[in-house]
Amino acid sequence: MTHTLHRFKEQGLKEDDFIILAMPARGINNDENTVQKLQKFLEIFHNNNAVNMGGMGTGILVDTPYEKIIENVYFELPMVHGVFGNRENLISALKDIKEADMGISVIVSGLIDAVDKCVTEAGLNRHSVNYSLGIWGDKSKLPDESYLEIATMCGHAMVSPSYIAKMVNDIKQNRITIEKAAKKLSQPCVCGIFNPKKAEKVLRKIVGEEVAAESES
Amino acid sequence: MIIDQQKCIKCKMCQPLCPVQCIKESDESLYIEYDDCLECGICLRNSNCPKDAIYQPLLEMPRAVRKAFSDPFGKHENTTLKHMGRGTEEVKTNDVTGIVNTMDRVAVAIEMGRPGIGASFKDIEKLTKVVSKHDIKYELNNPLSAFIIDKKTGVIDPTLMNEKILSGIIEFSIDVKNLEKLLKDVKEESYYVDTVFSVCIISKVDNQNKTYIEDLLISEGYNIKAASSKTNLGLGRPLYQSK
Repeated sequence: MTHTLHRFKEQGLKEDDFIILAMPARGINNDENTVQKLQKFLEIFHNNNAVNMGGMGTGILVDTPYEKIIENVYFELPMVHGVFGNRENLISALKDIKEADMGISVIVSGLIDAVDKCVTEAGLNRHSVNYSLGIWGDKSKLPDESYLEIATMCGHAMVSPSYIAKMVNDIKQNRITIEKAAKKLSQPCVCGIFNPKKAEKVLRKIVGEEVAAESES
Repeated sequence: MIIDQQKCIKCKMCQPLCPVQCIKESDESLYIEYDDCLECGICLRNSNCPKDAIYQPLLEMPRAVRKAFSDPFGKHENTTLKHMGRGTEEVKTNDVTGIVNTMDRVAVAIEMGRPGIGASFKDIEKLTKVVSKHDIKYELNNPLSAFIIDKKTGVIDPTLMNEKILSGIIEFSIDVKNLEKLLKDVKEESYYVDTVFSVCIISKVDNQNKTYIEDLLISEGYNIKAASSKTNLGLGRPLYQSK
């Protein structure tokens, strides 16, 4: 899977969205200690102010208590994730991971140069990089860029543009707050890689632009 | 996925969740356009349907591939692979598996249908036929590779040609020296597909913290600095080269 790759960044070189993944290699280093190690990663994410975290089927921080996520870690779980809203928390989490030395593969998703700098500051090195070359094909089928920025925070495409549009409309009608809308948008992303804080910023921008356009017309 | 017409009260809670907008309205209820549904399961999981009107019928091949590739919880029970996922561990465990372990070779992943549009196997085959003309090696642990019945020509199992999925990853490795030509051919074909796709390239980092392809990609006009990448930190053990 490439589920944390290809996050569309309309607003340019922002450093408000990083993800750490921890993944055992199937058949090589997933053993009787795997569950305990994945739980330790989640503990590190939590201690470093992750804005979301979890793994497929464990529940996600947005709507599941941290203790319950830990309890739900199972042997076949492919990987765990932690989402960070700034470079300071990312670097701090990476330092803790280095210290814990668990022998599980660790990957950081984010803008390439920002990640490189954070990794270096944490005293770690890059082993290999997966570069995104963006979206190809019939791009006329895509939603507006702000909607795309929210939707691509779930690599499995479980956050649909029509659901985002409903949330935008509900915010404009004062049926829901921006914070609650961002939380609701996080819920379909079962891996816990959706960044609700980033979603709040983009929703605020979309609502502001749409309200301004409506009042002009 | 199916909505039970006797149970649905047309509350419309499920409708906006669908990534391909295939939940439609009739006079009395909502229904799912069966041909357009990709079996991703989001309506069943997240709508909190007050009448439990949405249900998953038993899926058999070839339709079962829709769920296997589109539902995050889908399994490839009808392929040689049994684990979850649309692709492989790729860069995520590269420090341990060594799928890309030399500087002169890269892995390429072309994710058809992403983001959020979906792709037919007819469109996927257009690209597998293009990449198969190059000197590539398909990643055999990738579930889509299992359906490419002729790796030399890129022909996909013909029984899948009427099926659509939310995304499927064409994954292979290639020598760096052949990468530029491959990308040009893929770009040319991109004008003939009825969907979108996302492309990524995995490269090992040398001991000077460089990859050979970064300059190449920038010189070819790819804005790799503005898109999210994934970086493996080499913390997995045992490291591939130490085996």
